[in-house]
Amino acid sequence: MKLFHTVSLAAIGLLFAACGADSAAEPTAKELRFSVIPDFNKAKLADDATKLAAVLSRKLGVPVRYEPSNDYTMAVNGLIANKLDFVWLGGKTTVDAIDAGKGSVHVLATRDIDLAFKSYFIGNKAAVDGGKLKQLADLAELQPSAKALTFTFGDKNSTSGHLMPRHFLVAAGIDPERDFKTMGYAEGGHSGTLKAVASGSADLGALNFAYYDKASAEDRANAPILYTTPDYVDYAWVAHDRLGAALKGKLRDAFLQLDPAQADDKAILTAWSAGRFVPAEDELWNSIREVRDSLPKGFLK
Amino acid sequence: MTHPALPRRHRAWRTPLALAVAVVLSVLALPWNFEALTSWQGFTAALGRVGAYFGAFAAPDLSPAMLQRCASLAAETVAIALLGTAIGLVGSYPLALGACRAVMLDDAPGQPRLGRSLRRTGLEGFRLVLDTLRGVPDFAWAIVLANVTGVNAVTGVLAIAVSVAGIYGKVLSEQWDNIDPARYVALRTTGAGRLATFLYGVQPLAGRAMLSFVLMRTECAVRNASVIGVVGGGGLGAGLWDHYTDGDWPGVASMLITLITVTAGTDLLANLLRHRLRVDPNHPRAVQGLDRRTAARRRLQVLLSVAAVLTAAALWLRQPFVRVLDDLQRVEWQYVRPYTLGLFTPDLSVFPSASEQGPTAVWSALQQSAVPLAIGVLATLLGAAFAAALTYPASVAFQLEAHRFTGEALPPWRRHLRRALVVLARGIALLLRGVPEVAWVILLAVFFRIGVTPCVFAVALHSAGVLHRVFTETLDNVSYRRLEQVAGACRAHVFVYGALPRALADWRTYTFFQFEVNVRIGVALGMVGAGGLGHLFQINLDWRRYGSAATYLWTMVLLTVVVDRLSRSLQMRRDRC
Repeated sequence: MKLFHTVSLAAIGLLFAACGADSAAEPTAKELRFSVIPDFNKAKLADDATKLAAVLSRKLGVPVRYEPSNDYTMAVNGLIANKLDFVWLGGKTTVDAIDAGKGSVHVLATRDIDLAFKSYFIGNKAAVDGGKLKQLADLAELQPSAKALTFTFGDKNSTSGHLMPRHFLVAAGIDPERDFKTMGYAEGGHSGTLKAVASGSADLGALNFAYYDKASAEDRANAPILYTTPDYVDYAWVAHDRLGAALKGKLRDAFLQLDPAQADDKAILTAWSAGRFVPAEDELWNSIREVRDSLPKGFLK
Repeated sequence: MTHPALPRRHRAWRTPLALAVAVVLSVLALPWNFEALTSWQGFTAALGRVGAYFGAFAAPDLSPAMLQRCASLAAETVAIALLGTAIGLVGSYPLALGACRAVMLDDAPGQPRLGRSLRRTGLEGFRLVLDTLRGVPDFAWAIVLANVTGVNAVTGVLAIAVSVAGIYGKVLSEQWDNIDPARYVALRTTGAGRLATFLYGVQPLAGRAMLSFVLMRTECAVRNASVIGVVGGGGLGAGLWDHYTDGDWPGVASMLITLITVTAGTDLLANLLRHRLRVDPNHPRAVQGLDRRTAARRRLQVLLSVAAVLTAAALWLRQPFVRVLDDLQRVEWQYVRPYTLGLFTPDLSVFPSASEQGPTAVWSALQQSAVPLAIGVLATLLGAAFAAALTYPASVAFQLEAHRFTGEALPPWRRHLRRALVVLARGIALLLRGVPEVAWVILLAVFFRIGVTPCVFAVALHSAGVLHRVFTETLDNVSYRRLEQVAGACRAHVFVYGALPRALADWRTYTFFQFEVNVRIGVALGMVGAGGLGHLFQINLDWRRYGSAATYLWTMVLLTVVVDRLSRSLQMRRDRC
């Protein structure tokens, strides 16, 4: 094992020598690259991200390029490996990125709503009308009927669609794998969960409250809210130190100064469901790290 | 010679029994959900869902912007498939040489012992590399590669190239080893070295089979390229999946129609070319030999058109390639290591650690292998049964040319009816295989709901289409002279007693290969909702547990190796994908 590591390190060292100064961090980047996690409707995300790229390019005076990510992990890995300079991540992936960056990755800003974020548990309307499901004061009330229910999380890497709902279910004494009739992860993130529950493909699902509140009235009518989780911290803009302190500061200011009174800025804030972007420290996400690490890991086997 | 008869009769019940056991175990292994079929309420709800979706589905998005997007994605898909196949073929060639007995091992006496065993080890090493390339589904390659190369066509090309290299390498080496050494022994005895023997003896003898397989595999690559985008590989798959996850059904419909056009078009084109490579020269419809000059000219034409098409594909994908190369220069490789090289160091602990309860990755990997295996067994058998049932109405021999061996004379309207039947049956099969498994899952999940149930039927439907073509081809390739011998029988009897027994051995071989393919697809579908090995690989990758992810990845390879060695021990020759 030791030999393997030495050899691979040597190989990487050689590679670096070959690349020369190219791979060294450049304080004055020619171009900034960013990505966002594909947590819902990809077409809309790409649209919003392209708009943001234009606004940031103008404010920073540096070209800003949006790179799509096919899943959450790609956004984290891209940031760490110098394929991306800053990314929009969920709570869990924010912690993942901070950990994987070994001190060189930090939170840049977050939304006002992320300081008190929540998930909804939503039920299929037909199942609610048919008496299979009802309003829940406590998730533990699901216990007796769980075996008859099909349940869906969102993306495996989502905080509001998987990590926290699972955490609250486990706290209520429900093991999603064992206790529901079937359990799955909806493709397409929160929009997938809403669609699955609204159409009846799943009886019950858990998702991001901000996405749900903006969804179509028809979908919401077909998938009423049964339970709202307690608050937790979620999404953040996360940047790598290779940007350099000056540029990082400018980038943070650009986010914090997005002004709801201006049309261009307002469009970005609306697309991100944010009143404003606010500054935040990495420590705020420690609670998410605790949940991530303490969650029973049976679902990974 | 009474001996061989005994074991044969002894064996007769073994295959059906083994199959029955496999089916029962498979049915028990999967978490079924037949809600849509078992209760009236469930059925009407399912029909309601289907109705709602198909209402939107019947009106594909035909706006100019969408049509343009479809056309460009279709071109991208074909370019990905062709470039991926070409790179894979070039890459597989040295590997195939290394995995070929005739090249690696020297049968001449008087060889030093050490040299022999070294070569033997080398041979097994090359075979293991090929197994690894092939055993990891292209979906998994794309997921891993996309982290380095990004969401674009480059990822698709590389993922296809890697898995295609594994398949070509194995099959080419087997085709070379299948040549009877007696046919090139003259070269050896006149002093030719191993490489010279290969170049002037083995390879020319295997030429036709190689060409035929390369063609088939290229066609398969178009199908694979059309779904690789689901996990970041670009092309139509990306479009299809994005519209699906966004719930944009008119968009899904447009993408699916384009996809079927591309796959069916390739299918028909390949059929046309394949007929020129018909193996049995005695067949009434075989293309007869050409004179040397025409053959040389035709060869040149083919070479030039292949070169032209590949250049066009490379030009089409120039932009993403340049961009990726540019990006890669800045990548800090030490951070890429955990999810690339890290996947070579699986977590092999057998006992759970103190901090974590439950089975270790090794145990759950073995347990979860049941899902792709069960999907493979059930989907292959269902597919083969469906394909077999659809063979008779689609057979040119039995529907259009039956008079050549039964002597029947038909009124024109019945001939037309039969022609319509052939077209219909072949059209159904074309559609079945033209829609990729992932797309079938999307459609069936509306009825059965998400889970393993739609996956089994999706793979079964697609396999039925794929098997139907080779089944029909085998049937139509049976020489009519053989069928004439079933004297005085009607068409159906000639089919059952004359043609079927001759085709059955080939059908069995093809079905077994489809099983191997379907196990891999079962793994890949795990990454999009079927659960099992593929799901566990991806979720462990997502949760940054690379040791466990590696365990699941190498279990996939192990599965392929096991199935492959089984097919080798059953002495089944492989000459398709």
